[in-house]
Amino acid sequence: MISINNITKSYNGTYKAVDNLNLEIKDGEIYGLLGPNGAGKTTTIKMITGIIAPTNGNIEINGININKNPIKAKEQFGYVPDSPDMFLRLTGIEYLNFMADVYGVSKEDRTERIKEMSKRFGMESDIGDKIQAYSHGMRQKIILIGVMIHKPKVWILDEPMTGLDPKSAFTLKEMMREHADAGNTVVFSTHVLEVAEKICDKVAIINKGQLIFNGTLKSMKDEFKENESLEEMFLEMTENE
Amino acid sequence: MSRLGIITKYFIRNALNEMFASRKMKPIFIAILMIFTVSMISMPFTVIIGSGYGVLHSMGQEGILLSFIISMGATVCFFFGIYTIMNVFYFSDDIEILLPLPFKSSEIVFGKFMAVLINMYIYTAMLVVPLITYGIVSHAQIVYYFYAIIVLIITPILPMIFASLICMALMRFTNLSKHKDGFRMFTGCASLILVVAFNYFNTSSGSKMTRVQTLQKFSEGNNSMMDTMEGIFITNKFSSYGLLYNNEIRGLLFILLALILSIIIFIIYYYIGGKLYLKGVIGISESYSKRENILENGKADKLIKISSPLKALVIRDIKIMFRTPTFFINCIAMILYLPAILGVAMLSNGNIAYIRNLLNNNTSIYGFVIVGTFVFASMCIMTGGASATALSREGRDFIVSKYIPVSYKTQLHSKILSSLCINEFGTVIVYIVLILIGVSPMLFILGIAVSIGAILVISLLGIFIDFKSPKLEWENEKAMFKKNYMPLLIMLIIFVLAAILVGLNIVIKNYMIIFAICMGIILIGSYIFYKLLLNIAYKIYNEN
Repeated sequence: MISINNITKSYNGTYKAVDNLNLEIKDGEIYGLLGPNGAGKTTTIKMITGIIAPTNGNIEINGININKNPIKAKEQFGYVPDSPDMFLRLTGIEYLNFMADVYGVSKEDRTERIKEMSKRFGMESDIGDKIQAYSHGMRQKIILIGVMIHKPKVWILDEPMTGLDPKSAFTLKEMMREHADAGNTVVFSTHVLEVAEKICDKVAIINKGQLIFNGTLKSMKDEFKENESLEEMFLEMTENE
Repeated sequence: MSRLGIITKYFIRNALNEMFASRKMKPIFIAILMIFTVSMISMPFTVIIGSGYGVLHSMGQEGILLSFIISMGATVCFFFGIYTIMNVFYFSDDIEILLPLPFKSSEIVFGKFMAVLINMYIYTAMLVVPLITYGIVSHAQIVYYFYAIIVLIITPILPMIFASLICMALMRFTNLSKHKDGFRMFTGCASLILVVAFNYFNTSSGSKMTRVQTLQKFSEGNNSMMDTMEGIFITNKFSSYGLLYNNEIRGLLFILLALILSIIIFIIYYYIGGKLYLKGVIGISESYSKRENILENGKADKLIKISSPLKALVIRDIKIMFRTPTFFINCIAMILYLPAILGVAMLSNGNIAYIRNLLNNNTSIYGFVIVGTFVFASMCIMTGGASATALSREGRDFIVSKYIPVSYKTQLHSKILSSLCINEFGTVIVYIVLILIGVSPMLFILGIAVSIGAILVISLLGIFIDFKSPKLEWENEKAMFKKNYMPLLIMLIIFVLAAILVGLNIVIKNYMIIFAICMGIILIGSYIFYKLLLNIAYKIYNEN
């Protein structure tokens, strides 16, 4: 569960990248963060994960405040950043082992998890190679496996589908659903409205740092004309702002 | 504008930006600071010129001072140039952008060479104060200073050409190997070794004369000693003569000769370099993969091991340093480079026997050995080693440090440990040097202790400087090593400390006290830097 209470992030004291945002992401939910480029999605995610500190407000992950008790809070989630170009000189398996060490995963658990996830993402023949030699999609997959290695209750994914081939994107969506159905939390940002439409239980639409919609897709449709597509509703909301 | 003009302008502007652009200081201040630091470093040479001129002039050998200044400048450019060349020519990612553009490879070489040359003028700035001093003590006319400017401009050209040809000839073979990174590291090191060897044979050719012959030559007067200065950088000789005879027509001829020769050699280099360079850079960014299922053949089980977060962070850092050619050359190979240069100087001309003899006869120089060890160990990691880029090396990977559940203290400790693991390699070199010069067991232990401590405190200083203003937003590894005036500043601090210690040793004449003072400086320095680092690390890892 993630509670975001009145968070604001301002730069130079004037420009507000995120403005007084409130969100409650419950267990068992897949939550999609939507919004145009530069809306404040990544800034919000970075504040949730403790990468940047909010200027005002509180964030709690499973009841633990990320700024007051950062280590404990960071143990709760797994995070996929928007760019998978990291640790390029390490091999896939070295990266996974590193992540398992950092999160204190036992040898048996990490071995089992690496085998299971590599198979699921079709990476068995690649994890022995350097990440540098991977394609964009393969890098995205290895980062995903690394994030899931300690079985975090909360998944925070920034544009997780970018670069994935159709099969891997399908696998990831399937896994997100399984994770949420097991009583865990999934929050992710995306530009692809079809993805949001297919798998999100709830969506939050952010524009210019402000929350302009928060709720189920059904409630959104109720607010607008029944026959409008998500794309039309999205464009209408973000243009009116 | 022609393509050559465009690319040259791009590289020159880039090089100037890299050197002087800073968010905190105005470029002019950075330039003044650099010139000041470099001038301070050249102070010992200035003193030699100032005090030696009178005596040498009376013997008709004052010209040797000019030869000395210029050859020193060329040698320094040669040693440090190869490292800049490798970074600019081969470890820079602009290659991928430039190759698809319609530039001839010789045009790229020309542009990159100009960028390197501009970098090298920092080192040539070392010659400015000694040359001015020479001008003053020899009551030179304005034309001398005019010639001096020309000499300063042409001095690094020849050493740079040789250094880049060595580099290109070796890198030419990089593409033959599947493991490009590994091969690039190997050729990078081979280039460094070649430069040292090259210089050794180059300078030793001048000392073939026996002592009697040298004395005879010396007594001839009429600047006859300048004839004995041989070497492959032939423009040095003409430059020295040009400056010496600045008030005669032959002076002008010598300067013109040096200038024309530099231009001719450069034109030849333009064509040869262009051909060699292209073969070395095409495909440089390709990486090799095995596509082997290590989960099935059991190899993965050996690779999956448990470590503490601290150990995992240290191992990751060291692995990345060893596997990234730019990091390997800049952080690891450079630790060996300076000792190699000094070592060659020491091994030649029977200096070892002389030092051994001195050490056997009296203990009064033990204090100097301790101070020397302090300076030598510090100099090994002066260029930064693994510490001065401890945080910056992470680049965009730094984001991971912010979201993993590892405390800022553990992360800082991992940086200190990985830096020390690499930098303390300098102590191994000190160990070898102390054995070679045959010190007593007591002095050996003291020397090693001082070396370990000196590397600790300089490493902490390096980490502190890096944490204070980390450079995390780099596109390629090379871009991180842009502003390289920090080693000069560290060198200045070391020199000032060394001067104070030497002075104290002359007064106190007790090596145990000197040892205690050294250790005191090390302990206090380390404590202060560690405490400062804790504060900065907290801010870096927890705030933003």
